[in-house]
Amino acid sequence: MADWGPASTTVTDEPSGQPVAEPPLRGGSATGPSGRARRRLVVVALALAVVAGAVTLAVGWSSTGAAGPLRVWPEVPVTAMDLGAGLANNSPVLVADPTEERFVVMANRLDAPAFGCALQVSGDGGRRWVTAQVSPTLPPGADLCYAPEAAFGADGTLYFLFVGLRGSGNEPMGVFLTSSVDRAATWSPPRQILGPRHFGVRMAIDQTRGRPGRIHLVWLLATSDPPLGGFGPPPNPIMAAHSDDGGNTFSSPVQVNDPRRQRVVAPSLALGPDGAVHVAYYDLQQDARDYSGLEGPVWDESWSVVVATSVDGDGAFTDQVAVDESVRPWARPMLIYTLAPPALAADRRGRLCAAWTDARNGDADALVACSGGDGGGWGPARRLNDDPVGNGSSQYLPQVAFSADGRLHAVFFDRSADPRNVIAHVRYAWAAEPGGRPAPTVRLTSEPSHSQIGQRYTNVSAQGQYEVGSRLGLLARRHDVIAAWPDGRHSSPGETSQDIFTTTVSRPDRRGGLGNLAGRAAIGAAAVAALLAGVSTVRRRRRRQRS
Amino acid sequence: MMAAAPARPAGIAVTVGCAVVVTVLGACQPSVSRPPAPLPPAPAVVEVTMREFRFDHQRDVPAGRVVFQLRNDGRLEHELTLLPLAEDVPPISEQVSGSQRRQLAPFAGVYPRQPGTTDTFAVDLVAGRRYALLCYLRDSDGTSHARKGMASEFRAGGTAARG
Repeated sequence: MADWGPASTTVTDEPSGQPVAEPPLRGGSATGPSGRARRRLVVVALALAVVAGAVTLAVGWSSTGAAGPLRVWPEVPVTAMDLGAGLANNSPVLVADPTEERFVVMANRLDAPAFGCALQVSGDGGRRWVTAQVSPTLPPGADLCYAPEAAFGADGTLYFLFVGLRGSGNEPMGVFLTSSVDRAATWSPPRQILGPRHFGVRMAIDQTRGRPGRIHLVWLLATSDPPLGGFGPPPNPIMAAHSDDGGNTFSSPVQVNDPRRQRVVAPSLALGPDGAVHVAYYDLQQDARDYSGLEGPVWDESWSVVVATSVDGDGAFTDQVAVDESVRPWARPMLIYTLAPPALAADRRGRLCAAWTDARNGDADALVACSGGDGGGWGPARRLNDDPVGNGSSQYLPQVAFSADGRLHAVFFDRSADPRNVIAHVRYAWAAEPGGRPAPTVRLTSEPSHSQIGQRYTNVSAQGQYEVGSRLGLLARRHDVIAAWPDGRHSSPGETSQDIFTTTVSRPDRRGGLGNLAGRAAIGAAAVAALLAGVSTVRRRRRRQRS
Repeated sequence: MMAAAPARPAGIAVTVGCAVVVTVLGACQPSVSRPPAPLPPAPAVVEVTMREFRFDHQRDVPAGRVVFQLRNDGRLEHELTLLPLAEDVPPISEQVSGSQRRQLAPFAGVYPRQPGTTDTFAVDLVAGRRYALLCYLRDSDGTSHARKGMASEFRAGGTAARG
């Protein structure tokens, strides 16, 4: 069984997140210490170096099999504050340019009072951000841009997808795709790729398939005009299509969900090796209350998390696995547009992990379940959060991602520090292998956010709920992880302003103790060598003085 | 002492070899390739130190995306509110101490911060527009920190800092 890693945290105080530069070393100076004093200084310094090297080596040995401490960098604001506008930025998605890892992009949604899309870009790997203008004008017929997605092609082309909303009822009138080949400086005219009544559209690009890569889309198709907060009578299937020519043409849509599962909602998308396409979704089972957006208390029976797979990405989603059929919703959802889908991640070996919010233990927990890959089945759902079970505190909106080395990363909101279960931090957990036992988690936020910030719903199905977004952002790279979340530290309860913040978590070496040990051994060896050289120098000088 | 060995023939051979390799590799590249677009610029960072009773920050505050990084180096709790100022608003020092005051809407800001703590936020500043930094907290004598000096003004993209 895999172990979740130790998670000691080093929170830096350096505000810009840059390593603190040491003053340049100076050569011998007329104002420096005398010769004897200088020799003493050298000897003392070298002795300290040896001690430090020895301690480092000892620590390395003692932590063999584990990994070094994580470093959580100070949070940085991504979106610009504007208290007058009360902008509600949430639902970030983070992607990195495969041709230039310093170019990182974040697309995010804006909810009421000003529905919209936004794109943030970073040229330094996610440490500093500016806003990019995607399209100066909306397509004809669209009044608003909403629910954006971003993904990179294999050649570094950046694709930006959004839903056009029309009218006071925010009716989805079409799905549009635009692209940029110059790092978000200019964009192609948005082109309509799907018609009206498409909800929850997700996009991912298989960068191993050709030069532009294969663009995969998944969405929920409403077959009738949906009522406020829910969907019309089923079937309203989850569909998928793909494009091999940069989004100019798409394959004929195929149904993703098992047709026997009628009340399916909230798809998410992950791409595995060898062209496999995986879609996670909820089956609400008998929950007609939430599905139709009706009035009433939180549904107290189960939903299912299902993962459907098209093994080659070309055709049918023949493989349908019920990952968990005992999911308990923790709140009434705003079903259309904003219900958070199950998070889904795939690694290079074909292993999958799905994560969701679940109230089966009496309060909201962030649960994760993983498959073994290579035909291996799904393991049981486990809590990502490590607070006592059933203590009444909420952990929710988990996001998961794999890094290239097969390590699983997760972030989620956590209210365990507040006995009133109102204010939330963001926490991070990781595992060397998916499917491990419960993890010690690391807090990423220095300031919490009040959970009653953001758009407040008035429709009967989600009345009084505050919208915090449909996902957190998580990008796992070779040596670090970037997390992004909607942050209300500068807002008061009842206000709508949400700013997106990010932080970077520098990861310990994949090889754990061995990897660290190699570096420590090198430091130790260098210290010993320096000591020997110093002693030799002092002896030579003494001999010279005697002679 | 050993004499340095003549290395020029070998160096020439290496240079010529490298040139050949580079030429061949270059010929293998696609005939049409666009130069990579520049990476996006980093936003400006303005560090603001809060203490009794003043804001210390650089005089030149650029326009566009600016990240404010705040630190309370004082002994008291302080906050920061950023306000845009219309052109006809008197200098902020007069505004906070004068008898006639204009209603000003906050643009950005942070809640009270304890001594030794930090905070940060980003804003998009309009070129040429006046902005003010204010601390509205009150001292033990009932006087606002702004009136005691925690009122600073700048023009985005300009150098006219007052307050």
